[in-house]
Amino acid sequence: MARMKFICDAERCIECNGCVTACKNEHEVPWGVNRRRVVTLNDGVPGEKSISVACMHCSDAPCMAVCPVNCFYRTDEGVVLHDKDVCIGCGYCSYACPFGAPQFPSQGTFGVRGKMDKCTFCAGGPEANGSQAEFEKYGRNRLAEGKLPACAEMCSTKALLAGDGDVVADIFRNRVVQRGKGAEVWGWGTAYGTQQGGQPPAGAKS
Amino acid sequence: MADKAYEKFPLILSSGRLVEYEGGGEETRSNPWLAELQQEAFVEINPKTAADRGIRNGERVWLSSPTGARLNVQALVTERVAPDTVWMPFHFSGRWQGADMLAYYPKGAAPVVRGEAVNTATTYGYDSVTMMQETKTTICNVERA
Amino acid sequence: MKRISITLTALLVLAGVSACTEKPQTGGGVRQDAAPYTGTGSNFTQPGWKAGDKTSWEQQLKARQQYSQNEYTRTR
Repeated sequence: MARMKFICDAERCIECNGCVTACKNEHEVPWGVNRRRVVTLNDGVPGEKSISVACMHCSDAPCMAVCPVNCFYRTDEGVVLHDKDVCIGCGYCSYACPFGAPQFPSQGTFGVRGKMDKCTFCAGGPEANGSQAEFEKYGRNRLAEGKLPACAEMCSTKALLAGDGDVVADIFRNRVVQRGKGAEVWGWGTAYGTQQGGQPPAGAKS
Repeated sequence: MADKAYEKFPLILSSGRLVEYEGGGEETRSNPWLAELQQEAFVEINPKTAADRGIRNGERVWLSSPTGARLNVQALVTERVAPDTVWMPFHFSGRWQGADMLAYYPKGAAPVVRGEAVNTATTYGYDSVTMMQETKTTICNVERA
Repeated sequence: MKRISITLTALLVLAGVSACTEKPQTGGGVRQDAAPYTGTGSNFTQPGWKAGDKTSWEQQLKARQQYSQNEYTRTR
C-alpha cells in the first residue's frame, strides 16, 4: 500500500468548513485547538481561493526531526503520529511545522501548554485501537475501522481527498483529464473565452 | 420623503446567511464546533466607506437605522460589498444595543456566541406596487465606536 | 597532480548529490502502535474486510476511496 496522503483542490473548496466541523465532532477537539482549518486568500475579491489545511503527514517530517523527547513515530502507511504520554509540551514541533499542524490546548511557555495535539489521519495513537483511552487522547481511530478520515468523507465538493496516495493521485488525474485544470474546471473558458478564473471576461466593462 | 431619512442614513443595509449558523441561531450558536468558526456579529463594509468614516478592519462600530436602533458590531472591511452598501448576517442575538444579555438567559441556556440581531435595525419598508414586505434590507449609517 | 584533482572533484560531486534521494527518517518513537488492519473489534467497523488481514483491509479502503471520493464512477 502506498503512503496515505491528503490533497485539497483549491478550485473546488468552497470554505464550507465541513471538514473542520467533521474533525472537531469526530474527535471532540477542545475549543482553541484547530486540527484542520480552512485558509482563504483574496476573500471578497474575484479570484478568491480556499484550501483546507491540516497535518500533511510529511515523508521527512520536521516535527519528528526536532522533537527533543522523540515522541513521534510513523506507521507503515506513512501516517505521522505521536505519543502524548511522552510529549513534554515544549512546542518545538509547532515552530518547525510549515503548516502549523501541532496545536496546544493552553497558552503559555514550555510545558504549561499541555500536550501537543494534531491531525492523526483518523488513525488514533499508540493506545490500543478503538479503546476509550485512545479516544480520549487522540480521537477516533477510523482507519482501524476500515474508514477514511472524517474530513475527506464529509467534504461537500470532494475538494479534500484522503487515503492511499496512488488512488488519490488517480482520482485527481481523472478529474483533470475530464474537466481540465484551473479555471476550466468550471468551464469559464468555454463560456467566456479563454481567461483565468476570477478575471472579467475579455471585452466586459470592469 | 419629508424627513429626508436618506440623508441621515446614506448606506443600504442588506442581510443574509452564514454557512455556520441557521435561522435565529439559538441552536447553532450553542454548538461549540460551529460557534468557534464565527465568534462575532460583524458588518461587511467597503474599504472606501470605511476609510471615509475612519473605520479599520476588526474595530467596533455603531450601526444606526431609522428604527432608532444602534447596533454595536465588529467591522469587516472587504471589497465584497459596494461602496454604498453594507451587509450583516442575521443569525445573531443575545446582545442588545451594545449590552450583553447573558444575565437574562436561564442559567446554562445561553448560546456560546452572542451578537447583535440585524432585525433590530431592519424597517417596515415595502414594495410600492405589490405592498410585499421588505424584511431583509433597510437604510443605515455606520460610525466608529 | 591531475589524478588527485580529478579524484577530489569526483568526491566533491558525490558529496554534493548525496542528499538528493529520500533519506529514511529514523528516530522512530518510544512506543510501538498496533497496525490499523488489526481492527478495533467495535460494532462500528466497516464491513467488507477481515480483521488481521492486511490485504483485505487495503482492498476495502481503496474501494471505499473510489466510491466515496470519486464522483466519476457514478457520472459520465
